Amino acid sequence: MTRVELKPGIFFTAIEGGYKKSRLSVALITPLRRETVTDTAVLPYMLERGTRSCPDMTALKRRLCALYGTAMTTSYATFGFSRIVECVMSGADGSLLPDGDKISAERAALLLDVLLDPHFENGLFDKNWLEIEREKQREAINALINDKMGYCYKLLNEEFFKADERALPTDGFAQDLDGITPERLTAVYRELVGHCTVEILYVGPDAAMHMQIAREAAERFSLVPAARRAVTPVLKNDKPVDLVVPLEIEQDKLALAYTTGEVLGRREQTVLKVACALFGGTATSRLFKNVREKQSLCYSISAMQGYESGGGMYVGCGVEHADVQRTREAIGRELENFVQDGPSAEELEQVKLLYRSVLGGLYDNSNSIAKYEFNSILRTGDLTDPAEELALIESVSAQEAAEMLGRMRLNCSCLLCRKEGV
Amino acid sequence: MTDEIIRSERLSEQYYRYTLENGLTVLVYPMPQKKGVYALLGTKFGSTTREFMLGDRQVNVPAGIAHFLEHKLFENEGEDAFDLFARTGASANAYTSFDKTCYLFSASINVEQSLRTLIRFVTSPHFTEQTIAKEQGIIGQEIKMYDDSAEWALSTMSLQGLYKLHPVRDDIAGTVESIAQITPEMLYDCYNAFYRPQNMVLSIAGSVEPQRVLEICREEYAHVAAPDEPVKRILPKETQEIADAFLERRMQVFAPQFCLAYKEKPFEAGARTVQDLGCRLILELIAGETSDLYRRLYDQGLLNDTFDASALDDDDYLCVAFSGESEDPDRAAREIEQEIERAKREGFDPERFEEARRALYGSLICGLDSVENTATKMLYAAFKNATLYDIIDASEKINQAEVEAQLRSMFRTDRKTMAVVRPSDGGQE
Repeated sequence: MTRVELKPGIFFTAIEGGYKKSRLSVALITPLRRETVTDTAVLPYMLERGTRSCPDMTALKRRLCALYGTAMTTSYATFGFSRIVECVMSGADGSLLPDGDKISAERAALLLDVLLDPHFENGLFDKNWLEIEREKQREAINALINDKMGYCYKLLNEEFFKADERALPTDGFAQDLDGITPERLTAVYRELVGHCTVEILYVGPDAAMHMQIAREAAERFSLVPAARRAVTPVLKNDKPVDLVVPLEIEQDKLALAYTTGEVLGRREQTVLKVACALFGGTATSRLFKNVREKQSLCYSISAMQGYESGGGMYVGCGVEHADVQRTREAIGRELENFVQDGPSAEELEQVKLLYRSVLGGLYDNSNSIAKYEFNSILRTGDLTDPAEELALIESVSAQEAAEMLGRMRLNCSCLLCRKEGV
Repeated sequence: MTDEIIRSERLSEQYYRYTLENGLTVLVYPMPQKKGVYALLGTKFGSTTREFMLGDRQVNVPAGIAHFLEHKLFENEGEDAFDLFARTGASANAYTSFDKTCYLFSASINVEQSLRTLIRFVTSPHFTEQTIAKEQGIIGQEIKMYDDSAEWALSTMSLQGLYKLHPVRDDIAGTVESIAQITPEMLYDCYNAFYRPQNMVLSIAGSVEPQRVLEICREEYAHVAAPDEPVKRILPKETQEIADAFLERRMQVFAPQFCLAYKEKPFEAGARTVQDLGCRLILELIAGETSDLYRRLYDQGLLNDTFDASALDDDDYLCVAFSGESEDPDRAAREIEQEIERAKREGFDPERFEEARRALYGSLICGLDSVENTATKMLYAAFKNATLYDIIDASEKINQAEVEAQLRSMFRTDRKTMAVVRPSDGGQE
C-alpha cells in the first residue's frame, strides 16, 4: 500500500494485490456549503451525460461496454464538512483480456475525461440535458420517502446537526433546482476542479502502471488545494428533541441520535467502535439478543458509530406502532445496563474475534479495501493500516467500552409513525 | 465418493466437486491469493415448495414455511447459531429465496471451526411450540418491514398477476396469518424431506485446502442419515394463461412505480445456460443503459435510474420484468412493448450485440475476483446442473442469430401483466 502527494493537493494511493479486477477512482473533495450543495448533487449526472470524445450518454455507456463491461459510477457524498464528487471505474483486469494494457489505459483516460473534459455546448453544460437532470434530481429528492428507514435517519440527521452544514441534505434542496442554469453549474464545476483536494485511488494487480497513469492525470489538474474543516462536536441537549412524523406505513420506524458532546481522539474512536458493536452492531449484541430475540419487539435493530459528529451513536429499528414506547424503554434499559455492568469478558472477546476476522480478510475484496481506506482518508487525512487498527481494538477494555457509552446523551429522536385510521 | 476437477483453460483455474457417499455435493474453489473464505450450505428448498410427497404421505405446508425454517435452524437446543459463530469470529447469515435456502459465513480466522459450526447447526434441527411462537413475532415484523417497500409490493403484485396457482405468487416470508399455522411437525416434515444430504450443496471459496474441507464434511456428516424414502414436489398445474393483466395499489410513495412483467416458458433443461445468457443479452439490448429505448425514455422523463430489466427463473417458471419509477407508467410500458416488437422484427445491431456480449464476459470474469461471488455462483450453478465456467464459456460463443430466435419466442402480449403502485396522497400525479 503506497500513498504519495503527486502535486500539492493531489494524492495517489495504490493497493496492489492478486486481483482479477482493477478499480480506479478519482474523488474531488471540497468544503460542504449551503450555496452549492444542490449544484454538486446534479453535477455527477451531468458528467455522466458525455465527454468531448463520447459526446452523449449512450456513446459513453457503449464505450464502457466495449471496454469489456467497465462499470462506471459518478456520485456525490457528504462526509463531515466535506463534499465529495467522485468517479469510479472498475472492470476485469487487463491481464485477463485481449489487448489488456491498452484497456487499462483507455479506462483511466475515459475516467479523467468524464471528470475533466465533459461535453460542453459553447463552453457550458448542455441546457437541455441540464433540464432533464434537474428533474431527475427533483424526483430523487422527493423519492427519499420511499425508503422509510433511510428517510427516518435523514430527518434525524437534520435535527442532530441543525447548528451547522452537516444538516444539509446530501441530495440537495428541491427548491434550489430551478436556479441551476448552465452558466451557474459550469461555474460551480470550474470552481470545484480548480479548488479541491484530489484523491486518486487504485486497487488492482498493477500499481506501477497506475502510478504512471496517476502522474499523467495529475498534470491535467491545475488547482489550488482546498483546506479541510475539522469536525466539531454536537453538543449535549438539556432535553432531547423528539420528532414525530405520521405516514401511511405498516410499521413504525424509530431512530435515536446520541452524542458525547466532544470530538474523540483516535483511541477513543476505536473504543466507541467496539462499544457500538457490543451494544447493537452484531447478531450477538445486547440490542439484538435482548430487544429482538428475547422480547420479539423488532426484526431489525442496530446501533452504529457516528464519526461525523466527532463522537456519536445512532440506534434504529422498525417496530409495531403499539410497541414503540416499550421498545424505547427497552433500548434505554439496555444502555443503562451496559454502562452499569459493562460487557462480559466473553462478549468483548467475541467482538474482538469478529474484527480479527473481518479486518484479516479486508484486502480480499477490492471494493471493501478501497472504501475502508477512502473513509480513513476522509476521517484522518491518511491511510489506516488494518493491522494497526486491529491492535488498537485488541487493547480496548470492558471498562473503557462501558464508560464510553456512559458519556452518551440522547440528543434527538425521530419516529415515523403509522397514521391513525390507516 | 466421486470427485471431479472442473477446469477453465481460459482462466487457468480450477475447482473441485465431490459427491460424498451420503449424497452431499461439496464444491471447493481454492484461491490462494485470498486471506478469507466464504462458505454456503444450501438446499434446493425455497418458498415455492408447498406440497410434496414424503414417502407415501402427502404434506401440505403454509406460505412462508421455508423462510420460517431458515430462522428456526439458527436456534438449536439451548444455543443459537449466532452465539456459536461469535466464538469463531465468523460473520454468519442465511437467506431464503423462491427456490433455495442458504446458510453462510465469511471468515479469515478459525475457518475449520466455523465450517464445523455451519454443518452442525444445519444438521441439528430443534423445533418446539414455544420457540415457534417467539419467532412468529420477529418474522411478523420482518413481513411488515417489507410491506412498507413499494419495490417489494410491485414484485409480489406482478407475480400474482402472472401466476394463477404457482406458489411463486406468494411472498417468500408468507403472511402473518400463514406463519401462524406453522407447527413443529410441519417444520420436521420439510426438514426431513429437503435437508437430507442428497438435496444439499456445500460451496466454499477462498483460502482453503480441498482435502481438509472434505475431511471435515465427512466427519460432521457422519451422524447424518441419508434417508432413501422418496420425496416428490407437487406443483399445481399452472397453464400459460395469466391471472390478471393489471394490478394496482396505493402506498406512501412520491411518484408512481410500475412493473411490466411477462410469463415465459421456463428455460429448457439441456439449454439452460445458453438461454439464460441469451435472456440477459436480450434485456440489455432492449432496455439496458446503452439502448436507444433507455435513452429516449430517460430524456422524456418516463424513467430514471431506478429502472431495471431482470429475469426470475427456476425449473418450472420464468418471468421477465421491466420495472422502475415513472410519472406515466402506461406510456413507459407502451414504449417498452413497441421496442420489443421492433427488435423482434428488425433484430439487433451487430456492433451493439458484440459490445453487450463483451460486457457480459468482462463482468462474469470480474465476479471471480470475490470469494463471496465465487462460492455463491458455484452453488447456484450446481443447483442448475451446471458449472461456474459454463456461462463464461457460453458468453464467448453465443451468437446473434440464436439470441434473436430466442427473442422471437418471448414477450407474448397475452402473457403480460402490468403492476402499478401509485402515491396514496401528496404525490406528483
